Parts: sequence; structure tokens; C-alpha cells
Amino acid sequence: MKTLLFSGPQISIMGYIKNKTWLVFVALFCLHKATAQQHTRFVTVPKGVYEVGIKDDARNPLRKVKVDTFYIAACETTNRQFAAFVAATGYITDAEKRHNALVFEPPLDEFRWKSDSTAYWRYPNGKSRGGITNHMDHPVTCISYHDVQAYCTWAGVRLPTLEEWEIACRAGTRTNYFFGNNPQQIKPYANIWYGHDHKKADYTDGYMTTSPVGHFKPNPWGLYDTYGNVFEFCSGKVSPNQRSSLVHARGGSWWCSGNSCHAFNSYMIGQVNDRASFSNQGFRVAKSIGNGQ
Amino acid sequence: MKTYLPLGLVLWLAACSSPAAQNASTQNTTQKHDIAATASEANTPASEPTDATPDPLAAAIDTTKNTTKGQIYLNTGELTVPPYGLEKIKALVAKIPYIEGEGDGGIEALTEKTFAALSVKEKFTYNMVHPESYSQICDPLPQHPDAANRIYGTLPDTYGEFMWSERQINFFKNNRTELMQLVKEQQTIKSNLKEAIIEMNATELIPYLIDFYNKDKKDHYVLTLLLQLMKKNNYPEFVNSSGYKKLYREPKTEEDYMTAFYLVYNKANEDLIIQRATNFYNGLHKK
Repeated sequence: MKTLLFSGPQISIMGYIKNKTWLVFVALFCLHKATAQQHTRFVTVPKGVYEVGIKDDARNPLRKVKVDTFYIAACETTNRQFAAFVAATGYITDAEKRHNALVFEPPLDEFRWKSDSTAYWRYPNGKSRGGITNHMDHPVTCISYHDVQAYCTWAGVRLPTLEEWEIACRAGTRTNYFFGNNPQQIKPYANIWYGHDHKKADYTDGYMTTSPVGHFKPNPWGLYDTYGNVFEFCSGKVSPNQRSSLVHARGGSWWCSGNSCHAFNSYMIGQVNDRASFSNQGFRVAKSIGNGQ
Repeated sequence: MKTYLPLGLVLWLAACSSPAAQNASTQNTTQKHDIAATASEANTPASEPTDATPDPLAAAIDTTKNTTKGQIYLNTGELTVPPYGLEKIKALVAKIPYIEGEGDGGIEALTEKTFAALSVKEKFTYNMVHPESYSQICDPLPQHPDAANRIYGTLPDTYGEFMWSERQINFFKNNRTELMQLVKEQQTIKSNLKEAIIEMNATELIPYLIDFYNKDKKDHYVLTLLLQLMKKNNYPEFVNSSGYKKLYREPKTEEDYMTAFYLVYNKANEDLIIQRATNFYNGLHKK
């Protein structure tokens, strides 16, 4: 073989042309490298005063907020990234310790989930439904807010605040979605649920559960999957006296449909227990300017 | 030479796999591009920042810290709290261990053995005050404003971030005959008991619910409960009505998504719901 990778001077023009394996490998290498970089890219949001919220919403009232420059990940954190964290630290997630992850498998009534003692981030739908081996570029799920804090500490990042997330998601827009006000136009941008209910599987957008991060079109600032795929944990509270165990997430998920939930928009703020692990729950990370977090 | 191929691949994958390393390595190369991309589009800066308005719903529910779920809900006054073995249940709930002993979340359920040892009445009390599982993120929505002047098609959120586990739901279904008697012994029919009645599919309680509502006609969610029982059983007179189409239509606008569908509260709507529920009951249970 004259055309193997790293063969240096032995590579000949003829060999290069003839050896399709080499060409395929180079193409895959470049594609994979580019994709990996895209998955870990940060978008910079400049310091400023931004309008967030929506009129007549008690949880997220219309208001102006001032933020410093921050960086926010272009993509949701993937199984590959979380696996690196676990490999480096030996971390054991809440779902692994408590065996209480909640998974979805049709048919189920609206807003009903099944507790699966075998489910955790490596098997986000339970062991009987397979692991993440072929889904390393999907967002990590079945992790609790508590788990996410551990990841962020290790990775030198943090969660975006509720306001930062919305600013980045809106990308300078004031409409209900970064693409306008018509929810019917969401299909190119989001992995959501198109079924009337959750009695049977829905593959309208190609995926019943998670999709690879960055698969759908980004918002105007280059953030992918802000709507759908997985709910994204944020830091911050909607009320100063709310219980410490109540945390928030935004953006909707693959489970969310027009009839149920409809959280795939720029203004809605969801809530969940900080130890709960759902298979539609994930996160994207952020950083402050000047230091790691 | 072939041995270099997997070696290179491994090195390359290793380089790709650390998010911290990648963040550090990619941020510098992407930052300029990103700033250029975003600065011109951040076109909605406003003049003065303001504080967020506190959420009255969250404030009403989340009043305590570092207590168990049972204690939290017992303190709100928003639940029907059955008296059966209440002190025993309180003591059991207080002893439920936290796995890491540091927070107020996590598994807070009785063991299978302890749960099984409770009587039906005690399990009823436990279930009413102590939901064992978690609600998914979007559960609290949409909102239910001005309930005094509206008849909503759905019940408001009951337990916030928590909900009943599968064994708790199965308990309601498997013990419905005895539980329906216990429902009648309660002084109130608050949101948790209404949810339980739906889980039991307790259509036999319709006359009792109507009588209960007619005492003062203040809790319009009892009417909602009647609607839900008719809906759950696909009662044709209701599911083919204009009221059903209004209450359970597919949401289209942002207002639809933010506020639950409702009928205006007036005597005509009140009478119609009660009459339909009575017809439904008579068709099912009248001997």
C-alpha cells in the first residue's frame, strides 16, 4: 500500500487517485473534525440591554435585562462530551444511583412518563431499547440538574442564565420564535413531536426521540436546537422564594407537540425537580468573558 | 505502516473528546467570527434594565425549604388531606431518607414493604399528600387566570414539580370502589382529590359531585371535573358538542398556548354541564 495515511513520501499521485479508501477516509476525517468543532463552538453574545419575556406571562414577564458579554455553546452538550466527563472523573449520575429515570415509549397518555430503573445517560430509553453507541452526537439526556452542575465544574463552563438563554435564542428578534410568529414554520429548525397525541410514535421530522445536535437549521446567531431536541437547563429562578429544588429549563424537546406543552418557543420557562432525570432533558453550556465560568 | 492508521485515529478522537480542551481550542478561532456575526444583529438594546416580576404561582406553592414533599403540601392548605392515619403517614414521610442527605429533591418514596403494609385508607392519605414521582418540565402550563369567572376544560397544576408514581396511579385504579366511599367522607374536593377521581374514572360519583358543587357553586373546577369524566369516557353528547370543540380544540395562537381553554361562567353553561353530566351518569349507572 502506497497510499496509507501518514505514509508521507510514499504517496504517489496514481496511488492517491486509485485508492478510494484513502479518499473516503480523508473526507470522513474532515467532515467529522468539522462536525466536532461545530458541536463545541461557542457563540459570543455582546454586552448590552436586551428585552426578554412576553406580555401577561407571570413566569417570564416582558422586561429589559442588562447582561455582560458571554459565550454560549452553539450546540447542546452531546453524549460524547458527557462520556469524556465520566471517563475522566468516574462520575455516577443521579439516575444511576436512584434508578428513577423517566422515559417515554408510546402509547402513553399526555404528560405521562414511565419510570425505568435501567435508564440512565448511556441507556436513555432503558437498557432494553439500546444504548448510545451509535448516538454519540445526540444530546445527553437522563441527567439531572445536579449532574449538570458536576459536568460544568469539570469542563470549566456554566449553565446560561434564564435571561442569557433567551437572549441567545431570540438572536435579536422580538417575535415568539426567532423565525417569526408562525409556529407552523418550525419544521426546518426543530426536532419536536407532530402527532396529535402520544399514543403512537411520531417520526414526522425523522426522529421519535433525540436527533444529532446541529442536524436542524440554526437560529440567526448560529445556535442549533434552541427549540426542540431536549429541554435545556438554565440557572436562575422565576421567583426569589421558590424552593431550592425547583429548577428551570427552556426550549422544549422532541416530546413537545402543539397540543401538549408547546414549549418550543423563545419565552416559555419550564420547571422540574433538580434531581429528576428525563429522557428529554439536556443542556447547553455557557461561559463568561475573562474566566472559565 | 498500517499500524499508524488506528493510532492516528485514536489520537485524533482523543483530541476531539474533551469538551474543555475543545472549548479552549475552538473559542479563540471562532470568537472573532461570532462577535462579528452577533454584534450587528444584537439590534434590540433598550435603555433601562428592570427586575423580574415575582411569580405569584411559585410564591404560593414554594414557601418552605429543606422539608419533605409531604410537609410542603400539608402546609399549603391547597390539598384535600384525608384524616386516615395522618399522623402515621406524616411520621413515615418524615423518615424517608434522602440518598445523599443534602437536598429537598430526589427519591422520596416509601419502600415497597412499607407501602404494602399500609391499609387502603392509609395509602389514600399517603397518596394525597405525597406524590412520589416527578412532573416533566412543561407540566405547569398553560395558565388558568380568572377562574372565578371561567369554567376551564382542564384542572390546574396540583403538585408542581412532582406527580404520582405508577404504583400510586395503579392504587387509585385498583381500589376505586373503596376509594369512592372515602371521597364522600372528605370535607373538601381540592385539586389533588379531583385528579384522583379522574384516575379512578369515578363516574359513579357524578351525583355526589353535582350536589357538592351546588352547595355554594364557587368551585368551578368541580364542573371541570364533570367535563373531564365525560371526556375520558368519550360521552357522545359531550364530545360532539360545540363546548367540547371550544375546550379541547387544537391550540393555534400564542394566547391559546399560554392560557387554557375555557367557557365563560354563566348559569346557562353551568346548567348545561350539570345536565349533560346527569344524562351521562343516567346512561351509565341508572338502574
